[in-house]
Amino acid sequence: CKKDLNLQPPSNTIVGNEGQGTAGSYIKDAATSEAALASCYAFFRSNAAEYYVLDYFNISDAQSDNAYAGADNAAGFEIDEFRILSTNSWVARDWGYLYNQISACNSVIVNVPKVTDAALTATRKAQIVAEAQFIRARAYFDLVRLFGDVPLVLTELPTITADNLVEIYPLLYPSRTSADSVYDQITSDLKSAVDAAAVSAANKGFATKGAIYTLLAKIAATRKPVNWPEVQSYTDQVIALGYSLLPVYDQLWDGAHENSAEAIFELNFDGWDTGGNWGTSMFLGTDWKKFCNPSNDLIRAYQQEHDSVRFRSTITFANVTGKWGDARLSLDSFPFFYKMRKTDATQNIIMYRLADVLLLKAEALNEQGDVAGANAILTQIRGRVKLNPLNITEQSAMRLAIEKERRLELAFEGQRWYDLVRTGRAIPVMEAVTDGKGVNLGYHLTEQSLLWPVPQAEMDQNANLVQNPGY
Amino acid sequence: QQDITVKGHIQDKQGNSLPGVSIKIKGTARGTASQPDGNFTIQAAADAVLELSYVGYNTQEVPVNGRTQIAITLEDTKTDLNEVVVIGYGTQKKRDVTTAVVSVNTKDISERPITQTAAALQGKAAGVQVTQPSGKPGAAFSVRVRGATSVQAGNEPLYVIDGVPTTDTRDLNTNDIATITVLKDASSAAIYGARASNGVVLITTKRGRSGDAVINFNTYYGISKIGKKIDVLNPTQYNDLMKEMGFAVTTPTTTTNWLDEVFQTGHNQNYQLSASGGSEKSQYFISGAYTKDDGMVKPARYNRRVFRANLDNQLKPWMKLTTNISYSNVDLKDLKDNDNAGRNAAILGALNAPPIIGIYETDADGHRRYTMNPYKSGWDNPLAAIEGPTQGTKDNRVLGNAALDINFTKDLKFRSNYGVDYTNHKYDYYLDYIMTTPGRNDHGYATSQRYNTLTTLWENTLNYDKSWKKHTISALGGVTTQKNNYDETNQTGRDFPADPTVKTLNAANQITGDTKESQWFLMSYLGRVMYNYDSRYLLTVNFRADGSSKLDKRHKWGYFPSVSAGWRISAEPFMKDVTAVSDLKLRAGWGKNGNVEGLSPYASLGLNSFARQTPTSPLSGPGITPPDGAPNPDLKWETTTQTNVGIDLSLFDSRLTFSADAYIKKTDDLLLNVPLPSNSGYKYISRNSGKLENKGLEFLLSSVNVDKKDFRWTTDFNIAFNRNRITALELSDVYYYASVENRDNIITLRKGLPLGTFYGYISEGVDPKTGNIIYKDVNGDDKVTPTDRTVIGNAQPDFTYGMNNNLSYKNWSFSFLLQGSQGNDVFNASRMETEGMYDSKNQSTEVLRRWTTPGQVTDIPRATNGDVTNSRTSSRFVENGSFLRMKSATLSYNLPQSALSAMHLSRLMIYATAQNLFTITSYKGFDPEVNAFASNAANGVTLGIDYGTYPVARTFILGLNLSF
Repeated sequence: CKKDLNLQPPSNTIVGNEGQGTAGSYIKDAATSEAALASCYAFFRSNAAEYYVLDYFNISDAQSDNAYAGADNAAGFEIDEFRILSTNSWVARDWGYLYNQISACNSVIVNVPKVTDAALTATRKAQIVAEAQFIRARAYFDLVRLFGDVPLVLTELPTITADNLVEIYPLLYPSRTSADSVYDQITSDLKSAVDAAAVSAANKGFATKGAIYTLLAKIAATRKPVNWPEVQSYTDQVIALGYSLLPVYDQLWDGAHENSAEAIFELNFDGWDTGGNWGTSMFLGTDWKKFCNPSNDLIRAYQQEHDSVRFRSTITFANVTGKWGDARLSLDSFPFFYKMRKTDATQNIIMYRLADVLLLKAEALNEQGDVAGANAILTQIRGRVKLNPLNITEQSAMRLAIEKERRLELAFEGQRWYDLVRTGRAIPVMEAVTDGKGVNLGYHLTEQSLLWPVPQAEMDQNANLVQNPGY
Repeated sequence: QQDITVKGHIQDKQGNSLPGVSIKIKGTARGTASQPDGNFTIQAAADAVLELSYVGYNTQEVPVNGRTQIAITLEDTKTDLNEVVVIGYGTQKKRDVTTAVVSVNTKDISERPITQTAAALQGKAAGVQVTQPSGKPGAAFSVRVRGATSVQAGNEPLYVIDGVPTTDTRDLNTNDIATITVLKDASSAAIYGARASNGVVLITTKRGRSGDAVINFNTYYGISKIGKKIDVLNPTQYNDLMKEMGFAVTTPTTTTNWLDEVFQTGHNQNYQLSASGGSEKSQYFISGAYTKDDGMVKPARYNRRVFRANLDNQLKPWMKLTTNISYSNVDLKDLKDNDNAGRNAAILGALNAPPIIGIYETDADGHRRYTMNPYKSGWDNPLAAIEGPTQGTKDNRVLGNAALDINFTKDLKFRSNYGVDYTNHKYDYYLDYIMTTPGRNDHGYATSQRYNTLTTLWENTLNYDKSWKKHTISALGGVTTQKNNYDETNQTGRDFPADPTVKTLNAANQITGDTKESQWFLMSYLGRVMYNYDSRYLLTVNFRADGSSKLDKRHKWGYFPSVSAGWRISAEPFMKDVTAVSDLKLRAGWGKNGNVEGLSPYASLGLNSFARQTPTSPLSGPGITPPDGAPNPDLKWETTTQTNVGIDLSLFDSRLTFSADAYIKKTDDLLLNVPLPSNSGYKYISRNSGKLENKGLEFLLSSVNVDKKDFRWTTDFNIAFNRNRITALELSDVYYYASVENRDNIITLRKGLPLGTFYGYISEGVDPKTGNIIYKDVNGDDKVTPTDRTVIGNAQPDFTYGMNNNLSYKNWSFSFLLQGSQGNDVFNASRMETEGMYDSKNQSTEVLRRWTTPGQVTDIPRATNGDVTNSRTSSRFVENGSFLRMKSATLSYNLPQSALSAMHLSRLMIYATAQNLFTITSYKGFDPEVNAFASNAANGVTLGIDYGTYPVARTFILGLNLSF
C-alpha cells in the first residue's frame, strides 16, 4: 500500500525535483533541450495560436486604417474604435499569451546552458539559447509596443512554497520595467544570439541570423530617438544573407511558394495534428462575418495608386447580400483579406520578409538624407508589381511615399499599426480616416490611445503594477 | 415445545393491507413476509414473540401467546423513537443519536416523476439545499448540505449506496431506494473522514424478506411543458429595431415563432417490475426498470435501463453473505444550452433568432441547410443546435458489493466488504458539412470520447456491541482502501466526404486524438466508540486517518476526529410526570472532515504536456510544454471543522416533533487555483490559500394534525438559515469567475464576502438626454472605468424552506410539497442578450420601451449596434430570485380490498401528480432556480446565474402501482 500512496502520472512527464522543481527543471539532456525549444516554437502554433493567427492581425490592421474590426466581438470593436477598457478580453489574453511564450523561453535560456550531456554540442547548445532569445525578444518587442513599460522577467520563477514566499515576491509580482530597459535587454540578447544562430534551417520557421537582424532593425527603427545608421546597418546585414524578392508578388500568397527566398521568418503550419492555422477561416469566407474587414480607405489607397497587382493579392470580394449587415461596406462586393487562403490548417504566416527589410532600409536612407537611395529601393519594390518609379527627391515627400509603399506592400502582415505609431503618424492618420463616401469616421485618439491598458486582471493580481494614464 | 401454525393479517392505521412486512421470530433467524393481501402464515412456538418490521413503519413486537389468528396494525414511524436510523458503518436508534442526521421520507418516490436521488431530497430536509440548475433530462442536481464548504474542491455530498461510496447517483434507480439518511454535521460524517466535509448521504436499497414472492409493478406516463414564456419581438417590431440599428431591412417572406419551434411537449415514462421474497436462509430482491424522459426541448433525452439484484444468504448460523449488484445502461442526448445564440446554443437561440426567417433554406449550390440570422451569417437558427448534430452519450455502469459478516460471538462481529463502481462512457458527436455553419467551417466535424473509471473498495471492520445493566457500548474499528483507475480516449475528425451516411471518424480525412490515464489511492483507518447510559447520557467518539496518493509525501495523511454527546432529559426521573413530553434531548458535537475530491490526482506535481510538431528526419519527438499549474509541495487537505448543537423535542405521544440545530462550519486550508500573473509562466497554483466559514440554524417541525380512523393529515415543515463568507485569502486577494461572452466576469471572491457574490457596475438608469445607461462613479474620480465596479448582489438565500403535507381519507390520499428560497439574487445574464440591443439578435418585448428620443424617461436604454456599453455586467441585470414553488402535488387512490381480491391483486394504486405546478416569484426569466455554471469546476462560487439555461419543466403524470 505504501507504493499505492506514491502513484506517478502515467500520461505526463513531470518536472525535475520529483515533480516539484521549476517549470524548466525537466531540461536535463540533449533530447529535453530540443523538446523544450520545440515548445517555444509550438507557442506560435498552439498554446498562443490565438495571438499569432488572429489577434496579430486585429492589432496591426483592424486597429489601424487598414481594416474594420468585423465579426461581432465587443472587445474588438472597443480596440478598433479607441475606447478600450482595462477589462478588454483581447487585451488580457494577448498579454497572457506573450508572457507564456516568454516563460517557455526563459526555461530554455536558464536551463539549457547547464546541460552537461555530451550529445549536446557546444554549437547546438548556443544555437538553442540563441533561438529562444530571438523568440523571447520578439514577444517582448510586441509587449513593449502595445503596453509601454512591462515587467521584464528573464529567469524562471522558483517553486512557490510557504517558506520562500517573501523572498520570491518581487519575482512573482514584479513592477513595470521601463520600455527603454526592455529594449536594451532584448537588443543585447539579440546581439549575442546572432553570432550563435544558424544562417539557414529546415524551413523559415526557425530563428536564423536573418530573422535576428530583421528584429534588431525593427527595434532600432522603433526606439526613440531612432539611430538610423544602425537601422541601415542591420538591414544591410539581412540583405547580405542573400534573400531575394520573389518575381511575382502573388507567389508569396499562392501557397505554392512557401518558405521562399524572400521569406526571412515564416510561421510554418502543417495541419491540425501539429497545431493548425485556423486563422484563414477567421478572415476569409462567407459563412459568417469575418474579422478584420479591409477598410474603404485601404481599398481606395490601392485604387488611387492603380496598384492592381497587390490589390488583387491582398483583397478579394464576395457578394454577401442577405448574409450579414454592415454600416460601412457594400454587401454585394464585400472585401476580405486574401493573404491567408488555405483553409486546411496548413496556411503559413510570413512574419518577416525581404520587402519589409528593404523598405526599412529605404526609410533609414531617407532619414539620413539619401533620398535617391530610398527611391531606388522603392523603384525595386514597385517594379515587381508593375508600378512606375516615383522619382521623389524631397525627403518629407519620400517619407510619405515610404509610408504608403509599406502600407500597400505589407497590408495584413502585422505591420501597419506599429508603423503608424513608430513614425508618430497614428493620430493624424487615424483621425483623418473616412468611410466609403468620404465622411470622417470620427476616430478620436490621444497620445494615451497609443498604448493599451494593463489588463485589469493582472492589476488585480499584482499590486505592483501601475495603470497606463487614461485608463 | 411444539410449534403451532400462526396465521395473521397486517394492515396500516387506515386499514390498508401491508404486503412485504418482515415477520421474524425473535431470537432466531426464522421468518417470513406478509403476502400481497397482508396475510401471513408462520410456524412458531406458542410463547414466541414475532418481530415485525417494514420500511416506514414502526418495528413492532407481538407475543403469540398461543394464538393462531392475529390481527396486527403497524404504525407509521413518525411517532416512534425506537426507529432505527442508518449511520455510517451501522445503525443506531433514533433516540440515541447525538449528531445531526436526518432520515428522509422516501414513501413518495414512486409517485413522482423523479429519476434522480437528489430530487427525492428536494425540500425534504432542513439544511439540505437541493437545486435543479437545469431542467435538461439527466442533468445533475446540486446538493449542498449546510452551504458550500469549498470553492473548487467539490461541494456535493458523498453518497454511500449499500456501503459503497460514490459521487454520482444519477444511475441509481430511485424506486429501488429503501432509506435515505443525510449525515449533516462533522461528528456524524467523520467516520467517512477525508471524503465527508460536504456531508454524507447514506442510501440503502430494498431487500427481500423470506416468504412467498411479492411482485410489484409500477408505471407512469406524463407530459412536460415549459412553465413560463418570454415574449419576443414580432417581425415588424424586430425589423423596426434593426432599421434603428442601421441594418438594411427587407420585407420578410416567411416568419417563424421560434419559441414554439423549440419548446415542445416532453414525455416522461417509467416502468418498473420487481420481485422479492426468499426462504429463511436466502432472500432476494430483483428489479428491472426502464425510464424514459424526453425533454421539452429536443433532442434532450434520458433513457435508463437498470437491473438490480440484492441477495442475502445466511451461509452458516454465524456467517452471512450479502451481495448487491446493479447494472445501469443510460442513453443520453444532450442539448447545447448555457451559452448565447452567437455560439449556436438552443435556449437563447430560441429567444434571439430573428422571427423573419424560416427554418431551412437552400444555398447557392442547392444544398439544404438551416437558416441563419439575415444580418449575421453564421448564427444558425436554434434548430441547428437541436437537430444538426448526430450525438449521444452511452454509459454502462456496474455498482455493487459483496459483504461477508462473521459473528465470532454474539457481541463481536467482523465484516469484510468488497465494492466495485465501474463506468464505461461513450460519447459520439457528428456534424455534417452541409447543414450547419460549424459543420461547414470544418467540412464536417466529429468527435468521440471513451472513458472507463473503476473504483474498488475493500473494507474490513470489527464491531463490538455490549449491554449490561443500563450501559450500552458499541465499538467499531477498521481498515479501508479505495483505488481508482481512469483512462480516457478522445478523437476528433474533420473534413468528411460529401455523402454524410457514414457518421464515424472512419470517414474523416484529418484526425487528432489523445489518451489519458490517471489513478488515485486512498487508505484509511477508522474507529468509533458509542456509549450510552440508560439512553439518557450518550457519547460518541470517532476517529479516522486517511492517506491519499494525491498529496506530497509530507502531507499524505489527514486525521479526522470527532466527538458528540447527548442528554435525553426526558429519560430523567424528574421528567417522569411530564406526560406531554415524549422525548427531549440536547445534543452537541464537534469534528473535523476532509475534502479530497476536488484535487486532481497529481495536483502537487508540475506536469509537462506535449506539443506535436511536424516529423523531422531523423525523428525527434514532440515539444515538451511547461506546466499550466505551478507545482506545490505544500499542498494539503482542505479541512472543515464543524461544531453543532441541537435539540430534539417530541410532544403529545409524538404527535408533534421538533428539532433545531445550530452549527458553525469552518473550512481551513481552502483549496484554490490561485491565478498567478502571466509573467510567472504559470496560469495558477493549486494552493491552500484561504478560509471559509458557514454558520446556520435549522428547524424541523412535524405534526400529525388530524388522526381519525378514516382521515389523517400530517405536515412536515423545515427551514434553514445559512450564512457563509470568506474569512481569509492568501497570495491573491481577488478572484473572478463566471465569464459570459463580451462582458466582464459576474462573480467575485474576496475576503469578507459570501460565495456567489455578483460584481459589476452600478446602473443608475437611463440618461434621458443620451439614452445611455448611467453608471455610478463609485470611486469618485470623475470617470467611469473598470475600477468603479463593486458588489452588486448575492446568490445566497436568507433562508430556504420546504413543507410537505399528507392527507388521507379512506382510500384516497393527497400530498403536496411546497419548496422555496428567500432573499437570493439571480444575475439574469440572459437579459444581456434579450435586452442588450447590441447586434442583430431578436430581443424581448421589454425593448419596446427603449429610449428613442431625447428627453424620454424610460428604463431601457437606446439600441447601440456593436457596443455593449449599455449592457455591461451591472446591477441592471440583478434580480430578486426569491420563489415559492409547488414542487409536487399527488392525488392517489387505493382500490378497496373487495375489488382487489377479484383481480387477484393485493394492491392497486392509481395516482396523478403535478410537478412544478406553479412558482410564485418576481423573477423575469424562465425560472429563478438556475445555475448556468453548475458544471464549472469552481461551482462552490459560481451560483445563481441565468445564461440561456434550460428551464425546469412543468410535468403532469398519471401512474399506477400494483402488487400481487
